[in-house]
Amino acid sequence: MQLRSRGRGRLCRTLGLLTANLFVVTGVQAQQAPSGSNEATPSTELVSDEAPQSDLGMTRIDTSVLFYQEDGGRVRTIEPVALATLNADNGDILTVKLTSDTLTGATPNGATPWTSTQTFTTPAHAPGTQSVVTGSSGGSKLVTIPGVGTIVRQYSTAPNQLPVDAGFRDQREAIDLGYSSQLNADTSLSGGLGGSVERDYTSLTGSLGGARDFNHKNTTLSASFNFEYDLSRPYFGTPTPLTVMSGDPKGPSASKRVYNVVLGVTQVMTRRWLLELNYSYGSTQGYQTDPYLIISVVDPTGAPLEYLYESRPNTRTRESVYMDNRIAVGPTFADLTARYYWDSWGIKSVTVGASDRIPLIGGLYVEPEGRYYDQTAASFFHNYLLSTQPIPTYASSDSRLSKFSAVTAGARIGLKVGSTGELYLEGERYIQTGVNHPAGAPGALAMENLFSGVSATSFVLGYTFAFY
Amino acid sequence: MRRASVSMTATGVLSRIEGGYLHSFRAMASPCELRVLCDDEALSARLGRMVENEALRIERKFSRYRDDSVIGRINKAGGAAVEVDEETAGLLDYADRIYALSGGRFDITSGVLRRLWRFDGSDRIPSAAEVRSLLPLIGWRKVVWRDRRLALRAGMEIDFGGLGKEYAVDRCLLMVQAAAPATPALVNFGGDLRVSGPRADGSRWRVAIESVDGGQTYEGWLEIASGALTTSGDARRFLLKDGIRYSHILDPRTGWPVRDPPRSVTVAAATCLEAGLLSSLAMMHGRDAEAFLAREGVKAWWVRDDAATGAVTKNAS
Amino acid sequence: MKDKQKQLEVMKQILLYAVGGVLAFMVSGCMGAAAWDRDLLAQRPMSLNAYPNLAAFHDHIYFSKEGSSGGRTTDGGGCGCN
Repeated sequence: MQLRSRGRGRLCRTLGLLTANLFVVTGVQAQQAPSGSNEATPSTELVSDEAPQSDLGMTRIDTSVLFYQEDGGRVRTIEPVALATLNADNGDILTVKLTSDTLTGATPNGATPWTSTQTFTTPAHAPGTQSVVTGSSGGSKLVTIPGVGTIVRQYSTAPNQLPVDAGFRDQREAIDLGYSSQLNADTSLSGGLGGSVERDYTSLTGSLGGARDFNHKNTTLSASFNFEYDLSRPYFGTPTPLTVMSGDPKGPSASKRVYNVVLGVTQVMTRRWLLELNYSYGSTQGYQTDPYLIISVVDPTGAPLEYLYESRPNTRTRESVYMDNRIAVGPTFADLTARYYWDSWGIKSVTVGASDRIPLIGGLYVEPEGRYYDQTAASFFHNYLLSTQPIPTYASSDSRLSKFSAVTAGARIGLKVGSTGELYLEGERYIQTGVNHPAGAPGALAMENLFSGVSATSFVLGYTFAFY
Repeated sequence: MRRASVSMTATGVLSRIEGGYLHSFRAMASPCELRVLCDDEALSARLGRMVENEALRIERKFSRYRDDSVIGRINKAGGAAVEVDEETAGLLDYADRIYALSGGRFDITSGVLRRLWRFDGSDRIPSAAEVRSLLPLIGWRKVVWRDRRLALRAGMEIDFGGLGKEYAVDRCLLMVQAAAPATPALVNFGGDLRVSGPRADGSRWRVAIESVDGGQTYEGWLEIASGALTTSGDARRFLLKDGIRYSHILDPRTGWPVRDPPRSVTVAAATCLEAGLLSSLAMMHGRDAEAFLAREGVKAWWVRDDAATGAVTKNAS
Repeated sequence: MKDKQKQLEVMKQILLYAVGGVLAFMVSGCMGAAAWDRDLLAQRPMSLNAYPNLAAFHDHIYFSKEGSSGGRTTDGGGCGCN
């Protein structure tokens, strides 16, 4: 009689892992010598002090808080997250994630610094309402325009300083739900829904994905599709791109749609090496301009003549290839990632990341991590526009669209708590380096620092545990 | 039956079989054997002694009948914490994870149920109150297992039934493989078996599945080229009352027998431990045993009695 | 400007070679691990998403400060930081 074979289920796989680990722990190793009297002294080539971790049948809670602070009193974020992952006995997984995000501080408004004080005027009212939507905090004040009676908000920037709007405060609440179902031993399907709400922005997402194991579960092919609908409701309405910044009420809300596809291969290369390769394609249609950003129009001396609301194309396609290697190196676990990205706005970027988790004594580990990022500028990126030249269709001075590189360095320390728990603290320093003095800046603008990118420090404190 | 008088010297018998040697001995209340396919008699004898000594070591160390075994010390501690060695800790961790993984169906504290349930073919069914009175003594959840120290509640007991013999088979086979990597070998302890790989000529080992009815009949033959095979089920052990047949598979969560398990389940897996746990977990799923096997994609072969018609069906997945 | 382009091109080449090498290794068949050799792969740090919250924080920060996004998952930004 012959036996037919099939793909194995979750319990079966977990059992296999536990059993493999048992023989590592109890020390039957290939070098066991035969001898007459064999009181098998357990040899302990203990590869790691961690048992195989499977959450099958367990509920895992992951709570963490991000503290993020940009240099120079710019954006500050506190973001608590609670994630619950419910693993059913049959391999199905339900996830519920709640995120709350409080953002305060100053953000660059897109204008160039100048040798004298600059004053910026924005609407103080949402269209059709009389209530003031932004307080007169952060050095801005409410001003009534004589004759018209319109109340506007004004703020000023000192000479040779980067213009920032300090009146920023936002609160975001988000919920994400996911369900993954094990159709059979080799195939799983997943779906997700998410929503996030800010005072001026609403985002809804839905996703569908599937994964299938091949080759004795050494190879996993996956595909996922994500749809996102975003509604932008700026405090004072949506300005018409490339019109002059003013306190006049603006237009209605604007929306965009994002489609994303990721095709992935996860491959067990060796006992110590797991590899993931992804190709992503994304397409965005609709309003992608930042309603709060402006761009300076300067004369040949570099002096600002006026400020225009920025303008970005309505379509953007993005593509990327991504590689993630997890490698057990001796007793440590290394993670090496790389990504090449390109999009229809002309941005190309390379990202590489590395980290190594080093076990210390008593369930403690330290994981130094580093990342390098480098991008080219979008085709319509301009630090400023020249009054002597025609205004282009698209123009933005957002530092995110400029040419720059960034380095992240940090470390995480973690402490195992009980058999499933872990307390971790991560600290990171993020430093952007851009073009401070681009060639050809007119007049005194050549002396100003035109790169508005940031450096930031962040901490994450987290605790995760699982229970039956 | 071997109890405290287990001898620690190898007393097995080496005999010539087709293509190699067979070393047979008794351990863990079962007939045990090592088959090696080679012409080196001295090597075969050495491997045979090694396997026998290892089986006896594991039996002595983990026997629940011996007060000086690890298990005996833990059970006799009267609720005090007992510190255990690395090997025992590994097995306890393993049992801990399987308990969770099986949703409490596999529980090394369930042995006390044997005080009530004696599957001798009679009609002596314990009362619900008797079963209830034992339940406080059952449940791995109730023990404290931390930092290599195990504390049972007073009156609780653990045993490595369903683990110990399978663990011994796996260990013995790995030791033989390490000592003589080129020699095809089969370790069989009372029907729980594992092979090192195909036979010397590349063919499969043929293994007879003994009928669970006892006697000399066979349910069938299985061919195995790698991994392990175990069979769960014992048709001789049951209770019969008011026309209801009570299987000997007890559910530790309720203290009562599982309803409608297959007569036997044979499972093939990479290791004997996995095969043994999967076959007994399948039995524990009662009438859903086949669904469990299918869901887990387990290579299995089972025999089921149809209670109504008396028909016997045999199936493989 | 030209230097930067060149640098990016070189990096892209390196990345493509790495991907190619990995694919060749995969096709060659000397890869994979048997079920009983997955003790290391089963550990939490080897899982691709062992710290989902950390990954989400990183994605969020980089999404709001850089021109590129995505690659790891399909998850969008979901925030008004464009």
